[in-house]
Amino acid sequence: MFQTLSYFDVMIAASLILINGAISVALKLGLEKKLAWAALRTIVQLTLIGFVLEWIFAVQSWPVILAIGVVMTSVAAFSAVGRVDNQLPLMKINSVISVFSSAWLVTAITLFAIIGYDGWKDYPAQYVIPFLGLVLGNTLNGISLGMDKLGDQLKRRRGEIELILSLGGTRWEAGRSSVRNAVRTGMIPILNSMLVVGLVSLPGVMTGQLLAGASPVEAVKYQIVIMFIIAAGTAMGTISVVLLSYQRVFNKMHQFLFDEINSKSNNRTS
Amino acid sequence: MAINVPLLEVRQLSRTSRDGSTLLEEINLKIEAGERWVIAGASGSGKTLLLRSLAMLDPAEGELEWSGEPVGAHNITEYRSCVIYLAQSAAIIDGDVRENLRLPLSLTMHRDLKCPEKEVTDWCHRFGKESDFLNRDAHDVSGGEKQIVALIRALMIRPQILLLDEATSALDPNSVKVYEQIVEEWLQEDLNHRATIWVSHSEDQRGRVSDHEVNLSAGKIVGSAP
Repeated sequence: MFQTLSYFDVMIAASLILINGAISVALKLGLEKKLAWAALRTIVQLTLIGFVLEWIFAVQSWPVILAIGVVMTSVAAFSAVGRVDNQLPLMKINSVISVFSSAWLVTAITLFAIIGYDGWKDYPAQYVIPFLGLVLGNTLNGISLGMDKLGDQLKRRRGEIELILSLGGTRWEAGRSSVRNAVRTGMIPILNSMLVVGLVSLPGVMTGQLLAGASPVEAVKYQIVIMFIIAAGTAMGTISVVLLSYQRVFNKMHQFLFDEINSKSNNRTS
Repeated sequence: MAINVPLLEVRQLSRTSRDGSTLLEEINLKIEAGERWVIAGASGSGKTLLLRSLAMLDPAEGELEWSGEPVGAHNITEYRSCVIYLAQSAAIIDGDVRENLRLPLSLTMHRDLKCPEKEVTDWCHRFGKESDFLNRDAHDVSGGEKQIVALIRALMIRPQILLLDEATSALDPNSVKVYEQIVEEWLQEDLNHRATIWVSHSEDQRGRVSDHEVNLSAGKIVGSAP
């Protein structure tokens, strides 16, 4: 039932990018080079991963699967940091800890508790890598947005934070508004997706299963599970990174280490 | 408080910047109850940093004792609820003036305190502010009015030491007088447990609000009187 694509079919799709390029030129958006670079990276990255997955699916080796998982998780953790404007102390470590703990835990629960080991023990690569990838892709967004919002809030609210501390407030009382806003921001994309899923678009996994010939009801069941595990991974990752970052900017003496956020913008005078 | 124990004592207080340069160097100060201090010095001499360090708002080296007790992680919030730093740019939170004044009462440290409504109204009146002042959006009040709010908010929680960092810089002369009177009355109410430390660029004000002066230069004490 599944209709395979020829390289010519892919080229037709690629030609659609030319329309974007033409619009960019006509409106002087200056996006032509970025579009071309993004299109090239899409082709190269997906082609490479295609070959890599072919090999991994053929060998079905746990050490290889875990090694790939570590690489995927590390790339996600560092990508999450790369998108953040406000530099918080030890951001990379916080991101790595949060991405690893949340994505791997949620993926493990999905594979062992929801799907069950017997269902995929002969094909671990086909299950572990796609599920981990799905969770990682969304978790990194939440972590990135959460960290960025936290840095922004801490910088904007410096006066309020120091006011609360100077009146005898604890570091949690001083920082909790910023922490809450950061977690809320990190969760917005997945909450929005959950609200419109099935109404505005059919998600990728469900589309893939339908294309592969699965029954719509079975595809929907998978998609519901996926939405929930993505939401759980995003929530855990975002909360983790925001709380870890919060701990780096408030010490045990309930002092706000503002200089640690962005040393260039902070020149206190007397 | 034990007899002959200073209200606040700092020993070898030092602070360095991230690049390693010295901001405050081996400051020693002893503040007795009832004393009125002023820190003088040119801009950039470290006055604000010293007041902030006395409030322990920033990491610094050295020892700090409050009524004979070392201040550390175990009592820092209690210490800051009694030794209050009032910044030149008085911070406000979202909401009206009343919510800003009630902010300390929302903190765990002050949860048993009641808002002294009558005193608040009286203080506001003395600054020429009618009761509708309390309902104004805090973001709409002037810099001087924010300094008034900051003072009332601090007095509401019955502090022991006020660290006043150019705290009247945005006020008109009459309001400055009222401000100084209110602080002085608060001090006189309990001379055995209270003290003030001002930072001011006005020589006249320094003369009015202090009996003890310490001069700072490049983060070091270069003189004191008496």
